[in-house]
Amino acid sequence: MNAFGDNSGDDSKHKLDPRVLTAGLIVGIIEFELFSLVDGIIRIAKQDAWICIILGSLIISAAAYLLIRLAARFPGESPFQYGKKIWGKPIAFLLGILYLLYWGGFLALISQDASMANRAFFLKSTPPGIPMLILGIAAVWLAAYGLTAIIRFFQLNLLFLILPLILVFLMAIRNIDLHNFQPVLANGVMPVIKGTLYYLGAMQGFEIILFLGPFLKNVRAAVKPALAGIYTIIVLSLVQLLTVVGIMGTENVEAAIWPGISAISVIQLPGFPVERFELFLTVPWIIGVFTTICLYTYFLVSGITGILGIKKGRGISYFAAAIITLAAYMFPSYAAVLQIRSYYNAVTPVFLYLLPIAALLTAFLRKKRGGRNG
Amino acid sequence: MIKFLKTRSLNKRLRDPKTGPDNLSGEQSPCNPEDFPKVFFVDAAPRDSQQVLKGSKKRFHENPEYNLSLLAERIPNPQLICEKFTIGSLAPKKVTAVYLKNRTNPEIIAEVRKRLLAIRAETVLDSSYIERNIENSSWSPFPQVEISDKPDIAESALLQGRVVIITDGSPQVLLAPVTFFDLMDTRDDTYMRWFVAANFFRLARYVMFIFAVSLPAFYIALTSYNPELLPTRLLYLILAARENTPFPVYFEAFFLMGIIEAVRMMMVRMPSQVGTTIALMSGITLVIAGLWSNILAAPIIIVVTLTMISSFGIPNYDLRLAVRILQFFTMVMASFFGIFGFAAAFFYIGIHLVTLKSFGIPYMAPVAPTDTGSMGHTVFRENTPVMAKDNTYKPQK
Repeated sequence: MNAFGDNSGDDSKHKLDPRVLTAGLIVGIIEFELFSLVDGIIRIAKQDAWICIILGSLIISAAAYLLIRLAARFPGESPFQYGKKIWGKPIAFLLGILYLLYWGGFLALISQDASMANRAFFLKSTPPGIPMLILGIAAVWLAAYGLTAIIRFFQLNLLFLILPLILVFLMAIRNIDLHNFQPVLANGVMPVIKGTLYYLGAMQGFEIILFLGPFLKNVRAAVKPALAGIYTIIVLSLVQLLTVVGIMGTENVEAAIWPGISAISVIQLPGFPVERFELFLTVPWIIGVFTTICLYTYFLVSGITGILGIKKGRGISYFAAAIITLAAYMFPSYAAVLQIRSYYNAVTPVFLYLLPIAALLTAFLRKKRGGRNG
Repeated sequence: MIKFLKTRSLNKRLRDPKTGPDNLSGEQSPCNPEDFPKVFFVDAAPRDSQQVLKGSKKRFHENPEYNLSLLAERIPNPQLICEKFTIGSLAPKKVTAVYLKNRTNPEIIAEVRKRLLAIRAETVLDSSYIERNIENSSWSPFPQVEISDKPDIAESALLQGRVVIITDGSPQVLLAPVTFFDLMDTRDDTYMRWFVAANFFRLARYVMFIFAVSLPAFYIALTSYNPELLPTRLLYLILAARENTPFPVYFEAFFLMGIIEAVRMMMVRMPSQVGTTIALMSGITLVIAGLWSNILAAPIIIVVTLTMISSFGIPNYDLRLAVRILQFFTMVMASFFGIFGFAAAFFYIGIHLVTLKSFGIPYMAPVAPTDTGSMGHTVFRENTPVMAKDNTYKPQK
């Protein structure tokens, strides 16, 4: 705040254009898992993993529509505010605590994930706590300015996140062998269904639809931007899967730790001035991880302040970041991190889709809705 | 007849809750060319600060009346309002805020007025004194007010819905608010016939901005931490060049960047007739001596020289100054944390940029927040026979 009382971060009186949801979803959801996600799906559905993504896209689109309906039903209200109206205070409080645990746990997981990858690729001998602390401070700083500032940061980074991924895919096309996707449905339908459920669980950050609701000028107009964001992520996931399976084949993918990066490392383009194409992936990786950390820090802080009714969130932000940095140290090994991450993917659909849709149905049945002044 | 507010009575009115800064305003009157003295003065001498290829050669003068007459001549419209203030308790100076009433966001006008009235100073030596008193954050390295000495730029700013602040005794006017993209804009882009070329040069300028901030840091990060990411032949060349050099890469980079800054400072202070020659000679001598004695490696000289060239692609002096400081920040981060630190430095800069505002306008508009409709005037140059539409400074609904 300057001498004139002008707080640069205060955007509360200005509503956002619904189109911000596109950048919010793309940058909020994409993180390091983009490069490891395919590993989980391929383990389950083998060469049919691409069908899982397409099926998943239909379910995610429907869920996005329903979440927007929920946000539009309570204009100008945060999920914590209308949660009390829908569920009643005790159940809303209990659900709120569950969400806090979910966000906090995910934040610790992604921090540890980022730390391990950072150690593997960039800082081999630096104690992992230091880079995590650097990211944590930045995330808390941004989160303290609120969701509007986070969205602006996402908009600023959108091109830097997407362009390298597209560039890498374009360079990988000629290495893709379509035989690696055959035969189709050789293992039956069940692996595809399980793979689809796994894919649904990889959309952490999807809750941004509910959180952005109160900031949007017209929530009902947010359906198209939300779908645009979701389809972009789905296309990027599909591209990643096509590249990985197409280049490496399912057997090699299962053996790799980060198949997304391993696949890119085999690309060779004689005459092109770059030899290690992983360099291009480091940009979206690090942006994706950082933006997701920022978003989840915001969820966590707004959750703590919203559920416990605390007015000032900055102190809580720092405290939460410190706790999560400590929590990230508690994972015994990276294998444990990956294992817990797969459990998280199984639990995630409950928090991202089931509970919000149940809230919408309950609000509909109990005729609960917010004021019209949002 | 132009009357100016008396500082003493102003201070009294500022303290009064009924007539506090929110309720005060300077004296408002339409700007008519007839009200001002005609100064038949065209200063066509080139300035060192910026070369002009196309467009008017006129520029502002220390005389505020003349400056007002220039604006009033360019926009002879009753909507052009001059709001006059007197700032300074010991040696008062006339400060005039000029805006187009039907174009400018009332919130911006009110904010400019409020900030001008809140200035407590004995005198105003230059417009930069006003600048540092009215900007949102004096800690930010990025300028939040644009400075110009060109009447056509001021006219364009007025048409965009910005406020021009003229200070007595200063040949430069302040344009407020400003966004990052306005600072990267040049008149040559605007006056260029072919929009494709204008966009190409503008894009090149953004690339140069990124190079200027990041090139030495990126070089340090790659060569010190992740040399495997460099193409093999390039890596061999760098290693061969560095074989006999005694210092680590980051030391070489800091050392050379320091020398570049010293040469720059020397060029500014020396008389222009001899300054360039001495700077050139000393620079070349140092580089040749460094290379011959193996104290410096050739790759770092290429990187630093490229960085220096890129920094001159940034048209605004204050922004260039910010970049020169930020170069060192990214270099420090890259020296300690490699590519990770390099990325983290950009996150910190990015967070600062998206949270920074100039008179309530987000600094990175129209990219963040995104408004594709306004990009034709700022981020790109639209192919239009008239001035491109710009909603950046319009009231937010």
